[in-house]
Amino acid sequence: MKPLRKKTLFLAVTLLLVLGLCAPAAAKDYLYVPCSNYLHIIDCDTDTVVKTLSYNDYIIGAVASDDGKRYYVNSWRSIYVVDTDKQQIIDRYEFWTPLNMVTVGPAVAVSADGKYLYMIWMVTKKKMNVPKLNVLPHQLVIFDMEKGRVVKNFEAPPDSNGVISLKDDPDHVLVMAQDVFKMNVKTGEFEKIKGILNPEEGQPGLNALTLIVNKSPGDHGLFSGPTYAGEDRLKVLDPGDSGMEPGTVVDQAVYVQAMQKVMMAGGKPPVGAPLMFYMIIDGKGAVRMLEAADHFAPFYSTVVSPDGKYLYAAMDELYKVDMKTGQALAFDHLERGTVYSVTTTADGKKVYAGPAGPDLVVYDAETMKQIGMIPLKSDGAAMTRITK
Amino acid sequence: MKKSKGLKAVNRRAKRLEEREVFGMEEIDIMTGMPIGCTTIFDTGWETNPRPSTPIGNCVSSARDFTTCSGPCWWPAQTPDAITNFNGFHNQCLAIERDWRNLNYVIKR
Amino acid sequence: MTKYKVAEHKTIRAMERDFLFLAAEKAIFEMDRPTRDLLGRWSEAGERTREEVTAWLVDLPEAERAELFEGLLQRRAIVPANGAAPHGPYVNASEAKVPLKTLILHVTEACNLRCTYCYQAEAGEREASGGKQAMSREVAQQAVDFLLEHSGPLEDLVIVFFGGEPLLNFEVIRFVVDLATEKAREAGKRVSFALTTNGTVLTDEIARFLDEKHIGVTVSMDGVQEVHDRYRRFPDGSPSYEIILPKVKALLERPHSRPVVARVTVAEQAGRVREILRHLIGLGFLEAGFAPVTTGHPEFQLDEAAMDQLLEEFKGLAAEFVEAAKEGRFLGFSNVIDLLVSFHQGEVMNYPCGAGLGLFSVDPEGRLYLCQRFTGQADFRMGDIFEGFDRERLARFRLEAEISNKQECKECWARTICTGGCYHEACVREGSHLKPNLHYCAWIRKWGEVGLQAYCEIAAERPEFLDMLSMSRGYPPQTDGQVEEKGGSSNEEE
Repeated sequence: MKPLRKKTLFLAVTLLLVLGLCAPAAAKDYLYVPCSNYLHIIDCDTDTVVKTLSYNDYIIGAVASDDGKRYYVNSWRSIYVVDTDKQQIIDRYEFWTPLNMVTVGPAVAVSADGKYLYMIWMVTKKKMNVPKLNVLPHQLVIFDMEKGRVVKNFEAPPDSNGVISLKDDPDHVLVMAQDVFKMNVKTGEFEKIKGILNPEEGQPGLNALTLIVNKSPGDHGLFSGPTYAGEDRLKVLDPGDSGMEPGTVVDQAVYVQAMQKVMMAGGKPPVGAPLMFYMIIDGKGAVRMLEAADHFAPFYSTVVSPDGKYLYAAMDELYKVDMKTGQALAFDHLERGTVYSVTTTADGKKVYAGPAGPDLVVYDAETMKQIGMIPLKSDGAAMTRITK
Repeated sequence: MKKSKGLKAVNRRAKRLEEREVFGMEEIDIMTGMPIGCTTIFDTGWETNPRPSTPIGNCVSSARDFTTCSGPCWWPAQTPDAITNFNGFHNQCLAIERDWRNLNYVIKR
Repeated sequence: MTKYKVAEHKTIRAMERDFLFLAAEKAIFEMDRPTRDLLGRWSEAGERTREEVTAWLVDLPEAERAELFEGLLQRRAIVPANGAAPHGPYVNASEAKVPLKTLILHVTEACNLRCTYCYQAEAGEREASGGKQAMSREVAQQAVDFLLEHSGPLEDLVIVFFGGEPLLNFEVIRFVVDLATEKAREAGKRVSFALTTNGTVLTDEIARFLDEKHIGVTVSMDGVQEVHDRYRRFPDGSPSYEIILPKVKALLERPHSRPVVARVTVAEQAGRVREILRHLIGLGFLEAGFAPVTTGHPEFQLDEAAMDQLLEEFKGLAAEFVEAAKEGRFLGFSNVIDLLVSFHQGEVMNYPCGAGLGLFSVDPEGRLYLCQRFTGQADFRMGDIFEGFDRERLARFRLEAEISNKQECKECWARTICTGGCYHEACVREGSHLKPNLHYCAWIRKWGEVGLQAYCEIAAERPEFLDMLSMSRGYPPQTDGQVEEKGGSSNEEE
């Protein structure tokens, strides 16, 4: 090789090496798990607790800011602010005083610009030396974190218990009450977008369990949660020897009759269950009800996989559901017991179910088999995956 | 407040230590196979909840649900009101499966 | 088998009754004879299991033995031998926002006296402010806003007027009092005011104002004339006592809505404390408090002999205080009152004082410092009232100043009383504000014992007097009666 060429080649190789070394570090997933008195920070590569922050409180919910830099952990009376770069608690807002008794609802939302917290407050006011209590209607409160105080509040619909932000609509938030509302944060106008306890014409009334938000910053922005039809109709999941068509929905009376007939004949009884829908709300606030096609189980919370193809649902079992058809693709019984939350790594390869026990279980998303367990210091209700 | 034997609180700190006086709970041999009452085993409302099939008629399920049974809906587990009056109650029992022995009656006069 | 041991404690005998002080909890109990004997025996025997100990209680029926054991455990008089902490973690103040309660406003740096031992004169390098500047209305207004904004849920706030000699800028004081009262009311809060003065500028108008606006006044006086005049002089060297005396008397003789107290700096005459107290109370002060001078100059520092003398004087006054207390009479010796109230409340503190937590000082330009003694020292600047707190510095301070960093304090039985002592004193004498005041440790322990003994004596004879002392220091009454049969618990959330 001519000397010049050699030099050029040498330079090219060196440059490539240098560029290679300067390549940005791969993104890393952390799991933030706020439990009673302890916030566990878990490294998802090794599935171990790498840091534990402490406070003295019972945690009912938590949410990350859109940029993932802040994590807000709420108890009934306080919110702890965590800096996820420093992995430290940097602030604490306390709302309850003996004369102004404030209880914060379990789902708190952060504004898109990270400056405000949207909360549902249940407020009881009291005057010194006056025995009377003044219970206010539920409030939707906008809290300015820089100023450290409430800057606006609106009366919220009855039984409001939480706020969820909309990824693609910074001017609105979801408010979960007896039904699902969309609220304009500037004007305070509430618009009912999905009837739950007060259904729309022809729709079944629904029940939903405790409000738990499993979204991660930077994900698709889909909120999902399980709802159950509270009516006297059952879907036939497995007909047994009853002769009913699988997948059909029949009146309870009809179902019971068919069941009794089969049992008296000594045959295999049918398996049926009430209707179940996964409510999925996108970043703009559009609601989709995905009917559970062939299964039924009570769940505390659900999460949609990062690629939008699957939905994971957890409580005593962990289910993997096809987002297109609503069919259960796989499930496993959670041996270690009931869990409240479920989330995945950013690449969707691992599923975490917890906390309670106190522990988290780790599942391989492909095989839906348990591949690990992470012990925790105490019970909790929420967890969030934050990618750095 | 139970009249204490041996030590009597004099300053405020001592009184606070005493206030948390609770009656001890004996170690009972619990026969978990037998439904002997919904608060003794971790199955909420077993009378109304025909497990192992779906918990029709119940809002929450069983097992480790002590934490959800207190707080907003403090029915069958008979936990203290953690929202207003016993804000630090969770300290009695940070992890239910491990610490249930610490659970005691709480008396507020 | 879990082994237990008697918790770190001190036993006190007062009025033929036995008391127990738990060093880690700052809790004080009265013990009956059998318990005293049990704990004494147990202390000598070391670690024992529950079974072994209950076996000692031969005089008690079976059921009562377990009850007694549980009672001791509940009250943390006994603890597991392996040292596991029975209670939950404390929130580290660096991680949590501590609401602001008190601002010390240096309304001026100017002073018309030149007291020889003044720590401000000793401060050395001061931040370039001209040093004699008076606080403007704009800065004062911002300070009031700052206090209200950062007070969080607190409803009772405090503003202290300081200097230099604050009354040299009476105009701004008047402005702040009216402004703060109004703004606080709007925010649903209350502000109370205090002022420390050298007494040279107490005109009739000012005295009237202080009374009308319920301002708590502290006068810095060192006692009888010759002691006072030794160090407290005007810039030309002339003594100040005779100038101050008529003004102070006028202030004390008129009705005043809040107590006027004296603050004495002991720089030399440590053996005359009793005399000085009597003199000041004779003038009409409700209380007088004494503190050894904080100085880096050995010629002013109290040597060991002087500190011994000081302790003797304090002991004498404490004994007088107890005698008066038993009869329901009040002797205004601040040092013992503060100690007794601190025992009565029993709050275990992680920090020796509120500096850098809920208390900060503000200089005339609006800069924030740890406390009034650190004003002007750049190392202890914590931001300013316009831009806000220097959060990183503050967090670092709170982390570093917490008691668990003070290794020497870990084994000291008086740690809950002292918590290492004043940061400024430590800075001047030990070289770092983070060190405990090792030069005073032995003295503090002895004084702590005196205070504990005094506490138990009063508790034995007239316990309600302790409640009254606490209330006079602003603490709420303890609703639990000291009377045994009365039930009820206060259930206050901390």
